Amino acid sequence: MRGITRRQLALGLVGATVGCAVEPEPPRGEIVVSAQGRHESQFALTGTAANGTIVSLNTGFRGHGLAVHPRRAGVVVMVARRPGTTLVMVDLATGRELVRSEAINGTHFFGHGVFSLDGRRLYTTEADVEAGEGLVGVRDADTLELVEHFPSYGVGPHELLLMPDGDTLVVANGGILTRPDTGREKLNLDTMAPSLSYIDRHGGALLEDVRLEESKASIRHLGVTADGAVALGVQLQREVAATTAPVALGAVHHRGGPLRPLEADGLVWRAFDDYVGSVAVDGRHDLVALTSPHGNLTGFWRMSDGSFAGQVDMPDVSGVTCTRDHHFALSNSLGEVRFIDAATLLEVPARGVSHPELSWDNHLSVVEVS
Amino acid sequence: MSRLLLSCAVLTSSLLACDPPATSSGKPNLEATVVAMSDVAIIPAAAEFETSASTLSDAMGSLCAGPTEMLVDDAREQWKATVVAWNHFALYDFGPMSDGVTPADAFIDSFKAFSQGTSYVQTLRESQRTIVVEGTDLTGEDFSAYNFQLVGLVAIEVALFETATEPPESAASAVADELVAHPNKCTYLVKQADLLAERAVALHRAWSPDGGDYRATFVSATNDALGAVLTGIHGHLEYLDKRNIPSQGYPVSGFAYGIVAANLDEVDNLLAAGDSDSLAARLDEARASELLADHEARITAARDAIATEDAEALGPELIGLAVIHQRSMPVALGIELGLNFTDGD
Repeated sequence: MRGITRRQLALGLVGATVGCAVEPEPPRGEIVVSAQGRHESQFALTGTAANGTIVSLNTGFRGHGLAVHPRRAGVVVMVARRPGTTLVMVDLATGRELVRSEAINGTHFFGHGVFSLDGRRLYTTEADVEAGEGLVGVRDADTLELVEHFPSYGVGPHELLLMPDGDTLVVANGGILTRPDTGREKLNLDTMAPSLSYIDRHGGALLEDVRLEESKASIRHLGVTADGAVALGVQLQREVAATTAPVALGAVHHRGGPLRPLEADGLVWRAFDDYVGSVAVDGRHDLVALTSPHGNLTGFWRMSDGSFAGQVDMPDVSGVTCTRDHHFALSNSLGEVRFIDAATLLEVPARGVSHPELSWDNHLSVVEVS
Repeated sequence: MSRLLLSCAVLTSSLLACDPPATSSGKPNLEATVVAMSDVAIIPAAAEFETSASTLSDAMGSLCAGPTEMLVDDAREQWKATVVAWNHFALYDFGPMSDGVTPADAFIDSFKAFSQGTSYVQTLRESQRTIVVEGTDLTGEDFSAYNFQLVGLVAIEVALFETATEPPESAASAVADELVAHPNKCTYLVKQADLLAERAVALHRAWSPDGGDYRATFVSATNDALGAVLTGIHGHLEYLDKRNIPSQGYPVSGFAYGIVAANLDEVDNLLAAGDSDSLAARLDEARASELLADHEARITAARDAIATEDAEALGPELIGLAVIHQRSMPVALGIELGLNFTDGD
């Protein structure tokens, strides 16, 4: 019998359950890290190692995605969840906050950022509140202070990543307008126009603009392989979609080519319930993983041909990332982290950890702490 | 397509609950509420569906022993009764209902799979037309191996409420005449109804000690169980609205509003199940009287919209009820649902 969350009731125990005490010495080696916490008093940046030891820093704001510093081991930036305005840089080796910064007046963050390969710049997705337009914020990677803005070439930019060339940003413009004064209310569903924008990070020029056939599929999350294949996950605004037909919630794109939708049986997409929470890729095994907390499952597809490879059920799963040894790590708000071997798509139960006192938020990242 | 189902093993599911509301004795009593839900609402709904599906199977046997217009009408009424029973039970979309790569509910009611947007009515029409036109011998056919699109309540609906001709005729007399002329369509109906009855037995049995004892799993999970019920109801109500079931569902029988009414009846039933141990009693103790009043007002407004078949007015009430179950009730009861499910980005 499987578990009970939205679709299932869970009893029993899978994977190693490790003690919940915070160790005085932060973990070393590869750890998985996420925004964490359900309430303002709990909001934190928290990581767990394979042996279950955790490192956690209360942040005072709800984070969303993390940007992992490419040159400073164990250093990450957590970006406030939409429509938050705070960034914080943390050294996971010491568990200490290094620097904190705020969005400038009239802008807010969307929860995602990425460093340049040389570690000198941090790029964040932002909104110009008054104009309702998407921005890419260019920030000094040491101080996190804003250097300049350039357009994201869409509304509601969400995740952005750096392409392997080191010069091109790929931005998921979700297409949905929200404003801080109306919270998370979606204000332009009738006219939303999501896009995938490739942008020159040096001057902000638009290099390529890609659109999905389904205009009500809000592109939110991305994964990029070392050879430049971009996987995307969408959240379909079903209430305004012109069709009631099944819609692929993921696709793969190569620069200059068409979008290739991921393929799956209608029941698989049904299970996703029009919602993808996170995307992660493993280029070595030609796989992309899409999570759905609405469906309590993660699906895997082959990136080269878009074919469905398998699924794993997990209550409220949202965070997903790929480890150095090619395991997909999955996290949920029940404090669980489970690992799926990308080579076999089988779970590695001994590697799993569970911290029932923690609630992993939307996204998960891998960080090497020395 | 290669479909690899990975480990679906159970998980620890501590939902970091806040303290549930206290009873007059000062002790939290959500345990009794979950037991009441199980024993007064969910398991009786499973039993009702089993009984009704069995009666439908009998009705199909009687019809096919000598098809007449009156017996077609009788079978249609029993189909409606079975659909109503199913839609009482269908709210509890977890545990046995959702086990397997293809969830059990899809094999009962492919309109639940319509949540992805595909109506399989045309597929069924073509399949049944082929059977009638080609005189396919179904005597040895194993319907349990059929895909979900080809079995269940919708398959029976299409066969029972219209002829397999092009264009179809809906008169009961025409269907009766077709059954006389094409006995293999009768075989089709009998086998479909028997299979549905078998699946109803299996779903009911899964809650009993001799069939997996899901009841024990459910009542021991308290907050998770309550969360599953509330999110299951939320999901179903949202599905009704988002997929336009009132206006687009079950076009052959035209019974979509009856189905939504059955869902609302069960929502009401569940709220009151167990009297002093009921969900309504817990909400009352939690001083959530406004929430209960809002719930009642929305149920009333939804029933008014059903009476006039006003899909436009019905939609907001369904969504309003869905939000009450997803957000307001868990907050009032001090239970927390999945952070990412309720609040993703």
